[in-house]
Amino acid sequence: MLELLIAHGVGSRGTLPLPWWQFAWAAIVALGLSFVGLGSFWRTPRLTADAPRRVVEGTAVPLTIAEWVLRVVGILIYGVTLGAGLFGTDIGGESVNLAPVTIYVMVWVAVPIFAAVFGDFWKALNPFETIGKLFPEQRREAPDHHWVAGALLFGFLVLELVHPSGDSPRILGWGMVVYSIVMIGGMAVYGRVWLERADGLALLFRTIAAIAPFGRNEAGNLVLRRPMSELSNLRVRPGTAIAFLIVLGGTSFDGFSESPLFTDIIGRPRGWAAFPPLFIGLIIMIGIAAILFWIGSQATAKVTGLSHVEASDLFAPSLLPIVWAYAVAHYAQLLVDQSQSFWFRLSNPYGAFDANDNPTTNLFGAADGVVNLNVIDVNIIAWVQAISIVVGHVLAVLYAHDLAIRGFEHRSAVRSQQTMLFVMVMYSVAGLWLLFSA
Amino acid sequence: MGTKLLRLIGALVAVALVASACGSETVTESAADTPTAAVEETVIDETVVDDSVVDEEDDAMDDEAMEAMDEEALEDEASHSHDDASHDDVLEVNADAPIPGVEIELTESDVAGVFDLAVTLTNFTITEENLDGEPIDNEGHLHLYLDGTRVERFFDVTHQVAIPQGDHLVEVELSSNSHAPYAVDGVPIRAAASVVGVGPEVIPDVDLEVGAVFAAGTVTLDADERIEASVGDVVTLTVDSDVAEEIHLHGYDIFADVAPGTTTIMTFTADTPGRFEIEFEVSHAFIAELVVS
Repeated sequence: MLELLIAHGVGSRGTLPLPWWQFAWAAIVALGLSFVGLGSFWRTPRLTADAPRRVVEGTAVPLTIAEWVLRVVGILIYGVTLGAGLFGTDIGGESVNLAPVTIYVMVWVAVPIFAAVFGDFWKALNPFETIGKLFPEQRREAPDHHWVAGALLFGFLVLELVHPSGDSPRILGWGMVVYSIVMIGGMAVYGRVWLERADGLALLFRTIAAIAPFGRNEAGNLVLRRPMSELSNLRVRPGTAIAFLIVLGGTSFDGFSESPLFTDIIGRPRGWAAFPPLFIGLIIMIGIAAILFWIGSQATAKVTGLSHVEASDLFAPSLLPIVWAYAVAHYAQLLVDQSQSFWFRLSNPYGAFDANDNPTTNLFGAADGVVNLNVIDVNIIAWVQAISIVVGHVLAVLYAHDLAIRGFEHRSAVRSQQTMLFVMVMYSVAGLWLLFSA
Repeated sequence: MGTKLLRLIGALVAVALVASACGSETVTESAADTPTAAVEETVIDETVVDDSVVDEEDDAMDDEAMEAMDEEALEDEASHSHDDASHDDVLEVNADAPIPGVEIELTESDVAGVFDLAVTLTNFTITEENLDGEPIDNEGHLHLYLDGTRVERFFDVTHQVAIPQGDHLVEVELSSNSHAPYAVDGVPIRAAASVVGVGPEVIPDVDLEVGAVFAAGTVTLDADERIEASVGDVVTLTVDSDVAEEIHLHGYDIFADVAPGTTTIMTFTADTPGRFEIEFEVSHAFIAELVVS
């Protein structure tokens, strides 16, 4: 990896620490809203699957055209990125080869951040969904769990945050090959249903997209819905909660591994010497996220009489607004800076240069572009970071509260979620603290 | 009752987290401040001004003005030494040993804003191998001061100094192996020279000497690992390396070659906020992190 400090594979700039007053402001607003607001004002469930939604008739045709445009774009980018990874110039970082930018910035950062606003456009961009058109819906009974999806997400995070050459195009290319074999091979065996079970990225993105107020119905028309109401429609399987906790822990670890505290603990090992401490750090961070969630769901189980597993499954989707908030808070700056790189690298995706250092291809004439690091003022970015944590926190608390009051009368529902509320406060304050100290 | 108690505990824990996070910030800041502590007690031993340099650079400033400024600087420095009567951290020259002396001369180099510093030593030998050890008579290294603030230590009689635009005072001090400056009657032995810098317009307020030793994969920093600058500051990185390497400041994408026995100076305006890594490009060894806010 080019940079140990800036561990997310690409990017030449780290985000500035949040000023402490901004941290305090965000924390106080988050706490105030969650403790005061919910118990008193939110007494009936409003975010259930049958919450009112409005279908916008006549939007099916334009949306279907848009869908197929995205499908073509998705397949093209997938092909070019795979080619750049396997055959392009094997120099890591964002400034030569297309592959690291596509994977670490556009897919991993841009898609979830925008999915929470615009809905599940990844379903159209996802190349495996389009390739899946070649396979029948179901060939045989597919395993009904999300363990494979979780394992793939964990592998992705190890590559991003732990592997010493995680930004190497060649390694990313082979990573894509492995992911593709699992997806396409699985579809060949089980049919298209496999994607729903095993495609970890799609699982993450469609769950985040369920926060969005936009969806489509079966006829393809645009549906306007209450934000987060779609979360109740998502099928939770064994392993789903763990998959979300892996991502939550991974993003926290990305922040933590940049903090002076972490450097004090492990020093600055390079190359493979850094693998063990980073790997252990990632595991510990995922472990902390999981233990907190376990405490919260167990407390709920005790009050409500649900089984432990039922309680964790019930509350698993409420992790997603927090995951989204972490992504925005941690990667907003990276996205602004490096989405420019994506455009530049598209012009010369393989990163091939002639003897005079001129790009050998220049498809869109932007191959020589240089990232403008001052597109958006850093103060605005800092506000986006702080506000996103607060918004994510409040959304998560709202949804958890809404879940709790569905089955129980108001008072016991509020009691059932006290611990969960506490856990979410921990997540949010910890997320802010990471931003603040890193 | 139970719910209220839980709420109270939750709020208390959150407040404690806020408080502890605030505490950690304070520690970081104070740690970052320490390296810039200036040594104030100075008496000038001898002043050498290269008039030709001054004439070339700034026609508007005549020699009289220069001299006036010199005297001002002398008075200024003298008043500092009165303020602080104690000289506990100087090393009195041994009565048996010959008294060492130092003279300096500054001339403009080929690089804009950078001056060549020539040091003439009498009764003094520069040694690097006994650094941090016991003082040995007439032996040690040199300290460089810019406007009364110590900026680096060095070991050669020809050295390069980055001088920001405007009038500045460069001083060189004889230091023992234990880093206490040699002194006669409590007065440190120093040479001073006034100089008019032609460097960038903004006065640098960050000066850093990086990687004084780089060998066997380790980097020793004289400065803090985290260099903090404000947007608009001119930052000067002075790098001594004992290997041939390339230094890369990420984000700004400034590269500089370093070679054994030479001093490399990187000067740039910190105009983009963020955290940026400075590293040796070939070995990827971490040098420091630049924080511009």
